Amino acid sequence: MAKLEFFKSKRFFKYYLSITAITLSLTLFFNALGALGQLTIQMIAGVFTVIGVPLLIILILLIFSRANRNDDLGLKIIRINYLTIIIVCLCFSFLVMAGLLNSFYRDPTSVPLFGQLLSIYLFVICMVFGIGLSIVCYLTLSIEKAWLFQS
Amino acid sequence: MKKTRLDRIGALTIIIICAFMLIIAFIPYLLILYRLSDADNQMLQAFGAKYTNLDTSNMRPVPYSIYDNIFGVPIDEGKFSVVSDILYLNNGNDSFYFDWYKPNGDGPFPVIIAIHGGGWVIGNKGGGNVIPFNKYFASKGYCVFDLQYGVYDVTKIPEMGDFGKAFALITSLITPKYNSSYTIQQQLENIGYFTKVLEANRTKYHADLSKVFIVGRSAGGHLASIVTLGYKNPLFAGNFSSVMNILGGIWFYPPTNLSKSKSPFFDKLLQGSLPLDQQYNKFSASFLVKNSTIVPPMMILQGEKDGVVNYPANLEFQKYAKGLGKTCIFITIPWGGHAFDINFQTYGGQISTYYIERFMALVLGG
Repeated sequence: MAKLEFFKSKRFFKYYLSITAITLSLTLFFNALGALGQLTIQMIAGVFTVIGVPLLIILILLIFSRANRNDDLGLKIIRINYLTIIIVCLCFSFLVMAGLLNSFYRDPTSVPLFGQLLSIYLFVICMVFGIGLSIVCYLTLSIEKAWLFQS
Repeated sequence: MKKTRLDRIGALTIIIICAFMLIIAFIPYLLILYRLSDADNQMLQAFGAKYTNLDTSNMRPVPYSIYDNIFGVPIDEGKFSVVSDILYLNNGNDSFYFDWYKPNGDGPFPVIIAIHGGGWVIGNKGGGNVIPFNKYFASKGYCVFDLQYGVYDVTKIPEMGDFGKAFALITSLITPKYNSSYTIQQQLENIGYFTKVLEANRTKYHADLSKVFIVGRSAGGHLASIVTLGYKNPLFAGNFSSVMNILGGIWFYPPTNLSKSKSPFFDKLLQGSLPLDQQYNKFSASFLVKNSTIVPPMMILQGEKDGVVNYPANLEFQKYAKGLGKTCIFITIPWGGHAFDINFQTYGGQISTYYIERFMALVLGG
């Protein structure tokens, strides 16, 4: 039970925020480097993506349960959280659509630049919002009343 | 504000639903490793040491890349050119066109003839036939021909009723406007005519007709299977180019065994020069694989969750073909449905491309 309590603690949340921010930053970094075409870098980028995206989704769920919606700051954090979840959902939906665009363009003589650029923009937006959310939470963690942790 | 029991139940429900969706979404990716070892074993069995020693420097390095899934499979657009809508046949009622994907250089290049799907009743070349696939292989030095061949007009089957009429509406959206209706036999005759046109113009199109691969999806996969197995069979005498040499057939989710059912659909579609029972045989890969003297190596690719074409039946076909001593590789796409490769950059498209390019290189002699 003591171990379970740790997962509900502020200390765990602090670690979690740091890990999420670092993982998402590395995801962004290695995906950008992946444009060089190096397979190893692309594989590392893929691994970070697989780890980073579930971390971000879990973070969003954690914030919903930990932020104090009766406090002004807490409410703002929850609103940023809502915004992030909407952005993540939209970005991933459009990412899939960008993939479809790449496959479904009608004219074989054209180059599918639009779909690929769209993928890059959406992925960057998604990661940046995730990093931003974890940094905002980390910086406001010291403000006790914004969060629902037992001190 | 204290959290109510209802809040907790609501939050828990959402978390369970999210976790369930996440697990479902990840299952295919978890199964990829297991399925790939099966595909590798088959390739090893079929090609032996040639497979392990194959020079893969110009091929996709891994079967699946998350990076490519997000940003697209890299295709070097500078290595080929595309000429679209080249007329190859005008039969008085309809005109048939093809797209030509030409690698840079003089060639002659190995040929891929790509046949679109659509249940023999809808479909088109180009956007209807996975353009990125054609481009990818053109960039790797294959001359790709993506062609129209005509479709059957479902409104000519009165028994189809309203379904036929509804289908005709869809047809008009994604199918060229044909004035005539084409049975499977006529569709194959059109494809055969294309091979003759290619033979007459092989220098112009830089095509090496001694190295031909037939690729098709769904109904196109069925037609590809009949071309692959029947092009030298007396049943199709005079139908195809006489100099064409098919090195391999690559069939995506094809029906390999057409059998009579209560539906009038196939009876109408298979009408032709022979009695109906014999027509069913003539247009079934399972019959031709035993009754053709020339059987090139085959590769079948299908998703195990295919709800349109029977997956176990195609596995049976592979066993049957292997039992006859033929080379038949079956690549299973984990949790893949029908048309798993339409979105080329997803795992289905990536895995199939990985094995197809190795299969073709090995058949070409490594």
